[in-house]
Amino acid sequence: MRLPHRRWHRLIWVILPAIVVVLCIAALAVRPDLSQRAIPTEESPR
Amino acid sequence: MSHGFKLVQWSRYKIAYDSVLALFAAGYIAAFIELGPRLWQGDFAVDPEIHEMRAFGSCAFLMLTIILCIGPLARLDQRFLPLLYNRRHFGVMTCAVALTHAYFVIDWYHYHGKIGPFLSLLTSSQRYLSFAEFPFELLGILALLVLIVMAATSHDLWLAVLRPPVWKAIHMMVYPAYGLLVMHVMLGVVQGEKSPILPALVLVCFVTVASLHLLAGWRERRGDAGEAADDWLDVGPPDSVPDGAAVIVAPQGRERIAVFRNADRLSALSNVCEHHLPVARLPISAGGRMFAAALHRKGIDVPAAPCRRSGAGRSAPAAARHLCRAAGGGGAMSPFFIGWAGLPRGLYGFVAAVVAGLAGFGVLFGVLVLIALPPRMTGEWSGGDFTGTLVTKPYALVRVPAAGGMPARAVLLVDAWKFGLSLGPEFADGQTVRVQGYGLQRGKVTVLQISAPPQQVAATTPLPALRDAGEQTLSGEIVDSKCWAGAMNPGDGKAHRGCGSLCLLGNIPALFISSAAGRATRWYVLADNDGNPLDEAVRLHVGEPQTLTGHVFEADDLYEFRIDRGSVDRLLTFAAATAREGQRR
Repeated sequence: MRLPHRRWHRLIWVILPAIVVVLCIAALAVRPDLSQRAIPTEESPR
Repeated sequence: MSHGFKLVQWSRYKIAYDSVLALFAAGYIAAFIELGPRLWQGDFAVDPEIHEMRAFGSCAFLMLTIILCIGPLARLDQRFLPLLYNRRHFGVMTCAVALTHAYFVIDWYHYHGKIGPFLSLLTSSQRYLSFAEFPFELLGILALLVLIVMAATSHDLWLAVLRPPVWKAIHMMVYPAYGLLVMHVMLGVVQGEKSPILPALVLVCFVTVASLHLLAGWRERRGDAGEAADDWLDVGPPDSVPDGAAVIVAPQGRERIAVFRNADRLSALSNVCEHHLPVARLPISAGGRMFAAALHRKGIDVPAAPCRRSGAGRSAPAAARHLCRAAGGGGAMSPFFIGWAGLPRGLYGFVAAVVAGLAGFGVLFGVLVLIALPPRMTGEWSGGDFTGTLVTKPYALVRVPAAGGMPARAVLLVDAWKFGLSLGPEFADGQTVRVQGYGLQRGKVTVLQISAPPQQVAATTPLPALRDAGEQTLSGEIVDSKCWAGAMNPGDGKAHRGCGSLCLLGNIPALFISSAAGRATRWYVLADNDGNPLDEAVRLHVGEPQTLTGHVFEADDLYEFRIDRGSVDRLLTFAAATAREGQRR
């Protein structure tokens, strides 16, 4: 018997982390511009 | 449960382990909930319920991160083995904390609406083909399901029923689950916050876990590679195996083998116990035929086959080095932890230092999460007694004329919880009515949760006309007026999306908050081209950044933004987009 974590070590500890890191960077890249949320005044309707 | 299995085989060490763990989790959550409101005080403080869901959510993430670090740390340094032992209880407690986080989310965001909480949770967003708008809730649900299955099978009974390979494969799902959890945070709360602290913290945790596993695997790569062998493996001369300990050898492509020595007898067995822990790490003190008993406290009769090729192969010094590596570099008989035997005195200081270090990291982690999630500007509860002209479309509202120094304004009418106001047939546009209830004020947006039906107090008059301000393209976000005006803080953004979706489904007025660069924020009542409410498809896009083109109608007290759904691709639901693709084919 060979343990699953040794059989799948490349998938689990190399490919999976690489995918997650790439997705994390992509998630930061698509983060919306939230700068407008800081505007303290709201003037609608006039 | 069958004979031979106990629910928990308590020992003094397990009780101490669980006590420290419970103290750690309870202390973190209590401190988060207590310190959060003190850190962010003022009129716009974050809702206590949202503090609670953040406290449990961040605690579960922290606990799972620590759990996943324990395994490789114990492989790199055997002094971490006391943390590995009883890790199952750690996992079960993490699952409980994560479930409590889910309970608070469902209770606060998905209850008290037009549809049931679980239906709301699963349907509030359906943008499966969009990366930025992907339903992050689904990622959290999948991760939680894995934790639940793991917690439910964290017992020797299930190990026996499922057999070790299946059981271990199920529990290996914790690694994909951790990846799902990281993306749950990155595509969820991180999308609605400006601070770089939260994504940095998540990435540091994830990279630490991945690096420790890679490092431990790299250290063991030579042993895992094994030796090519047709019939025989070289272990070394008999005296290269220290008495009462073992030498590990690895056949190529197969699991390691532990070769034990007890006085003048040598035995070999798989280096994997039924819990998939390395047997050869155990020093045996007595009983040449009870090696595995040292771990399990039950008899496993190990056949003591004689070494069939004694004296061949590896030299004694090489085998000794191998043994030292297997024992963690500290020599075969350095202070060594065996669960049921208690913590050796030599490890007290080390374990105490590790626990203190983890507690310190937990404090730092919690403080950083609190700092990264400041409150947003929002409205507040105010008085609620208005008299004005009733408008029934697109939503029930009262236009209150200017009086006593107060400018004219529109008061949006809503019901309790996540329901808009449904007016009976006795109400019509232009009626002069008095409305009373609980007011919410944010800037010039007034939302009134009525406590009694509107009372007609004067004759019907023509509605004040809205001017056509022409076609405009606006950027901003669709929100539900009640939460955005102050019923919740935060009442916008992606994390709040599920609640906003349920509110719009309940006919709470939909607003479009325009936030074009260089201009102050403006709010518009959202309607279709005929001035009717948009159908429920709009709920699937609440909380998303949008650029919409439509007609603006305005008055002194009210802006209305009328859009054509068919012309706005971003407002197509996934189902509609799929149907359109099908028609093209």
